[in-house]
Amino acid sequence: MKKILTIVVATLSLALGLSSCEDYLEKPVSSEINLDSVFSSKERTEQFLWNVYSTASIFEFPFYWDATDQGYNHFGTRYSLLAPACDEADTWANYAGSDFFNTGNWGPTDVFYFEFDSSFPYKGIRNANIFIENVDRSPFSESEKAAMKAEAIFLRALMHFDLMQRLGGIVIVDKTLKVTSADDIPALRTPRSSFEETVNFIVNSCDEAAKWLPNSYPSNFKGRIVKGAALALKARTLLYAASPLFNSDEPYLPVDNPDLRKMIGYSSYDPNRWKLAADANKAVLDWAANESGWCELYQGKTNPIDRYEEIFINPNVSEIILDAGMMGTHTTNYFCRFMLPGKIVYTGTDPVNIGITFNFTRFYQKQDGTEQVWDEEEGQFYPYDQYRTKLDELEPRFQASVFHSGTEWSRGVGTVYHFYEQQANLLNLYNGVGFLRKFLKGVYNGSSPAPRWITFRLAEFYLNYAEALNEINGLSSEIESAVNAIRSRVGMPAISYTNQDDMRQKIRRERAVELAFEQHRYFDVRRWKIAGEEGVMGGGMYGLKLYGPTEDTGPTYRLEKFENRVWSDKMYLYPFKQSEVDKGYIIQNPGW
Amino acid sequence: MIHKNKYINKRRVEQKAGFGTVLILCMYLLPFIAMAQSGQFIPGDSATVEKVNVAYGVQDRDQTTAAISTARSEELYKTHTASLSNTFFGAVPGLTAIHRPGAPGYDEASLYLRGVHTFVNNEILILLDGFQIDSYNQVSVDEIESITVLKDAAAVALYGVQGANGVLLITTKRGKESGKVNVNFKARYGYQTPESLPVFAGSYDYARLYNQALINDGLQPLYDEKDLEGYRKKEDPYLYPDVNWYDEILRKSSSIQDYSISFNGGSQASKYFLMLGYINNDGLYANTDRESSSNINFRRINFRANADIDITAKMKAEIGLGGNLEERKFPPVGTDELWKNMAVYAPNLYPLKTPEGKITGSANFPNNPLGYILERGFQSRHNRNVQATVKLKHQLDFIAKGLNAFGTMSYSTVQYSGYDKTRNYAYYEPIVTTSSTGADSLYFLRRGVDTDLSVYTGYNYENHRINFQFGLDHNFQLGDHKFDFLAMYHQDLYTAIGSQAPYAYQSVMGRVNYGLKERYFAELAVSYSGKEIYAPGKRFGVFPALSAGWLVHKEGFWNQGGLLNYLKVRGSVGLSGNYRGVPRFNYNQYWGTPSGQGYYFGVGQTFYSALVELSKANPNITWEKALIYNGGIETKWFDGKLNLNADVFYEDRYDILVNMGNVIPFISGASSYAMENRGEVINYGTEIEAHYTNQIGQFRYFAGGHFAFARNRIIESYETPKKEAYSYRKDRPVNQYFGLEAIGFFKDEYDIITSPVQTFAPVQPGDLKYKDQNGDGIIDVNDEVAIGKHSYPEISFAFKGGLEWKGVDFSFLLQGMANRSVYLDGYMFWPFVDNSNISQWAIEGHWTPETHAKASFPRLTTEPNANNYRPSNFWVRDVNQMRLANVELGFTVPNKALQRFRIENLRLFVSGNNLLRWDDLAVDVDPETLSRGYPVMRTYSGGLSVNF
Repeated sequence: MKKILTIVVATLSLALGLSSCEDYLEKPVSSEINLDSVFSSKERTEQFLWNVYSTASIFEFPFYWDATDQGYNHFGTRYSLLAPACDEADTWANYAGSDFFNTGNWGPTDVFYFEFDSSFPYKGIRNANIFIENVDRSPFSESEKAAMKAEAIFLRALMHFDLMQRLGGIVIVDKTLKVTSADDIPALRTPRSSFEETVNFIVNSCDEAAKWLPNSYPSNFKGRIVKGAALALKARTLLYAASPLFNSDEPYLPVDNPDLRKMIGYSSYDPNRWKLAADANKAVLDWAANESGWCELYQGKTNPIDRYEEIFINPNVSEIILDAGMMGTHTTNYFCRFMLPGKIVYTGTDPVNIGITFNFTRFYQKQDGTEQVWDEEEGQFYPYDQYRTKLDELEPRFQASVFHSGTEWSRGVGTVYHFYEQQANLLNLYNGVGFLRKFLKGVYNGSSPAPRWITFRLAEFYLNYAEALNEINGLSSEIESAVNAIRSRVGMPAISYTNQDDMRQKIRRERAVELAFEQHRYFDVRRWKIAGEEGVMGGGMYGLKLYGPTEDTGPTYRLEKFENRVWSDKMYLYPFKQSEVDKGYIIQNPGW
Repeated sequence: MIHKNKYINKRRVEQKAGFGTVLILCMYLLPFIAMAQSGQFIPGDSATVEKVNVAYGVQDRDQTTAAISTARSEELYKTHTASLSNTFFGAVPGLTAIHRPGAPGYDEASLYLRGVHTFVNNEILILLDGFQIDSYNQVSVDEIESITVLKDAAAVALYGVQGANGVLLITTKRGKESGKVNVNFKARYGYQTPESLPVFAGSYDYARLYNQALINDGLQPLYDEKDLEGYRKKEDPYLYPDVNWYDEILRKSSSIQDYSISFNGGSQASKYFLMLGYINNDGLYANTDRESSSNINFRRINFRANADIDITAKMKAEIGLGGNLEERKFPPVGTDELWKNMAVYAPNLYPLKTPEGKITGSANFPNNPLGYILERGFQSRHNRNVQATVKLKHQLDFIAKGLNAFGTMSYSTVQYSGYDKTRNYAYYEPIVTTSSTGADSLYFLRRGVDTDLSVYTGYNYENHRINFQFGLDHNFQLGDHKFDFLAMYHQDLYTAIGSQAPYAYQSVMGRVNYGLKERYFAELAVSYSGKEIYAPGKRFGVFPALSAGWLVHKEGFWNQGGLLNYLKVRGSVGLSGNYRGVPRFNYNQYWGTPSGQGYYFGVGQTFYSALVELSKANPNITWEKALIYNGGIETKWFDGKLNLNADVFYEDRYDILVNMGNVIPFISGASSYAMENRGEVINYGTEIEAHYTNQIGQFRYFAGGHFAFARNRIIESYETPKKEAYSYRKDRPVNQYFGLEAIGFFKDEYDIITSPVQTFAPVQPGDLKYKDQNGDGIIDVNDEVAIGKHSYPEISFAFKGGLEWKGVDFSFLLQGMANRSVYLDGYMFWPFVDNSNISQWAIEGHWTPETHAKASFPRLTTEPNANNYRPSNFWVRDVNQMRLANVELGFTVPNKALQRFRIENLRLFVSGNNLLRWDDLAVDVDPETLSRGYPVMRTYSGGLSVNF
């Protein structure tokens, strides 16, 4: 009996011992990391900085090219670039996001689905803020910390710029917002800042970052932010700020609400903004020439076509201030899937097929600097040889950028494609005069190296400088020399100054040609407020359609309108996402 | 700093725990103070009265103040099925079961207790002899005594943070004292056929209507006159096949058989129950007896050994050992996919086989269902479940009369493994060529190759669970005052494969049941329970419940000779918790390096992986709380012939987790948002049950039934802001269907241009026409309103009856549910979408210009029509249904005839399950599974039960 009692008591006390404290429910030690341990280690601090990079907008493109991919929401229209959403190009596939822009079929409930989910940059901004606020705790040296913090400050500014470019004045977020509870919501309902405040925030961030950023990195870290990138972002921002869309007495749509008026631009025109823009762009050129030690317009290769082509392929090209390996080597197939013409490389049955419009082709001069004669009448047949001759005569940058019928896809390989006889390769399916080739040199199969996407290259700043300088009636020789630096690099004859208006047109045209398809023109035609002009963002878009030989004639081509595009002035700025406006803290842009 | 916090948290926990303990202890000490004054002490009597299972124990039925319902094993046995949950249909009031499609052994029913309480997780707590196990569904009905549902706060209080959704107790049989060994042998054999199979078109109708659909879409018809003629005449089965996949793949019936033998007996000092059972349930696939082919097969062996041993006069042991071996075999294809293919594959897709008997297939449709079951080999799964429980109970009479100490240890484990033997086969695509003379010829193009059977073993994993309990109970009477005390501790540690940290539960509990003059009862139950998933210091909660009962018929004023012989009134209020649906360890903010997230630097594009903020933490995350009120009456009339019980309840479920991302501005930039305890749902309803038994001479009969109703409403769920007030889920039931309101079909072009613009797709006559709810002239998502109800029923009910006369017995059970809706979407209902076949519903009712007045289905189309096939009240249909769940006719052989075989009792019976179904769904599909996947089975069985 006593024995048994002892057993019972022993059992009970054992049980008590087993369960004496709340350790029973304690989570076992595991491999997980918290914020303290992130910034207590050099390695993890760096890894967090890579996180800021990976969520920033340098890639410009969706990882899987789908604007709704969680965590990879970058820019460019769904399954394509921005080029087909303006007068540069058109996609054959109707599933590309650009089609929705061209038909005017986009708005506050779905724009984020076709291009640019505005919630995404805020994720990157949050990461940047966390890094900026915590990097000082890390075991790096003070100068290393300052330089790394400057990278994050720059990236945060870049994301604000991406938002501003599309939306005008936006909500500036310069600290980590607390989101632990719904109780934080009132504090989170930050209103939009004015356009001016947004510009100032970006510019000040760039100034701050430029103080600490290095001029270069060792080769294994090529691609990190250099000082020139901060100067470049400031220069581009001030150029946008000075441009007619924002720097004008008249807003693009009448606005009653004075707060909203300030959000969509400056209240009145101020010529000094062009001066600031000119200075800032000059500063980039000066940095390249005097400080960087490496940055200059690329002058390699003997053939100007090769030279221009090389800029977008070779990561060692000296004029790249900031770029990114677009998707790494392993996802090259996505690139092929969406950018390559027909089935020459891509093996699927539904290529996007980006075609270059005739409207845009007309910006290219002949190699000798004279105008090509485009006297085709709509609907009239002309011999195919004339198509080949006229396009072959166009300048090197056209040859490097456009794959037109009767040329090779991979230059130098020797296989010539005549599109009208390439139905099997789906090369007959395009709108325009030919296919996009820029960025694609060297892509001959799914595993060849992916191109890099360029955020800033030096050429842009010559053109920015010329544009700003022309607006303030700066020294004509200086304007000329900036533009001609770009032209002479590809062997084009120099242009000369006549008057401000004429020069403005020349600069804009040079900009279109030099920076074609690099996601500039889509925004340039907006900031110049010319998007509504016939054939730019709205109106008829044309192509040179090829027809195969018949019993009577050889192959022919025809000037044909393939599309009437829709533009409405409210589209000068994007709408904010409806679901966000519904939360009641954002004033929607006019017209939406 | 951190250490200090931890210390404070721990202190607070201890204080709370201390409070709970002290409260129970005070309650416990009170009667002793009283006893000291009065000097009386009588231990609790153990006379045989009706007992009922309650949390962590049993109580007298009279004494119970909680809402509890029970069904006995004999009732459940009447449904012949391999899944225990499928015997729950109509078993107890308040427990709603819904069939789920699944092969035998994989067809566990969905269960709701008192409807739906929360929009997060409504899973109920299911315990076998007081402990959770991995697969209660595989427990044999032959080893269980009863199932009990615990419904109100008083009943579930001791389950603390686990109890709010309700608790189902499964109790196994235990030995009864007997002079001899009672042997029971049961055998049963049944045939199963699908209760219903959907009807699809034959080739002629298919081709004819497909043409019509193409024309409707502005496309060229696919089949010419010659084809249609060929399909109509059916003369050439190769050129013009007409395959009914169900006819070809399925056999007429499958078999189900089960056997069990049990031994029961023992002395007062040691009692035992031993059981060994076997069930074998085949699938419906025909011609599957070769090595390369496979029918579905489910076999299970159940065993149980329960013993109650008096080790000494004061010490008792209750030992339970049980488990099962599950053996499953099935073709190497998902059952749902195979049944989908049988439904959607067109009848003229290809002939079943080539003239040489080879399996057909095509490049686009390689998965000929026949090939899948005949040529692909098989997969098998082997699960082993064991549960062992030892409870020791020791009388501590030397301290106080009626005082016992007990301790329990339970261990359960489940092991899974698999063995596959699969192969690929060559299949042959019919290619039709037309010669210059117009004659068709056919040849078969080989695709794929035959491979040998190859073996794969694996899928091995194991989960195990260790429970530990100990405590004291004390039952005694003090004059008119009767006390039942329970104070105990329970811990549960569950280790599952694939999770870094085991699941842990810990609880300290106390219960005092007080009875005055055997007529007034009150009970206080408190648990202080916690889960591992919450932050330190926030893991434990106090869950009290207070309840009272009054046996009115025992009052002096009661007319004992009246019609009403028994009347108990009871009520309860209490707080319970639900931890389910809470992300584990969400109180910690974690960081990690998800694969693929990073950045490329350097000329060679080296990938640098990124460290990112993972799911947003909520340091205050906690459980849902349910404040539950219950009132009930229990009555007996006409000398106990009629039992009539009713309960009403009201539950306020709050602190439900909501995702704050719906309302937090995105400028915060968090990649995920915290889940916060801010939602609220109320749920209310009633259960009524009646049972009448009578005997006239040798003729005995009974009739009864029960009815349960539960309705809920969302009070707060933090929805994304909506444009129209009617779009909010708030103030509507959980999972209310939303969609457009269809107001008919477009009659003609004029009708289209004079109606509001429908923005989903271009419309044409015969398309669904929707109501413009907000009058903005446009039909878009903002016109979506609440339509129909939700997929779970508000009402469930059962009627049963039976009679017995001179050894012949008969019984039936009707079971049904009402107030729910089904969403008729996808391949069963949308003809030609993704090449699917066309159902009888669409064949008969589709819109044409001629039949527009009486059409009951939109115009035919081959496209996934974005206008017609979107949620609307055309596809969301209300459904009420009733099944004849079981019917049984039995004959008990007279005792005299059996005596010389030493047989005590022999009963022979035939029974049927799911023989009839009534429902008001316009479409001929099963209203629960919508005829997707393996069907609900109708079973005809015969069997015997022998007692030696």
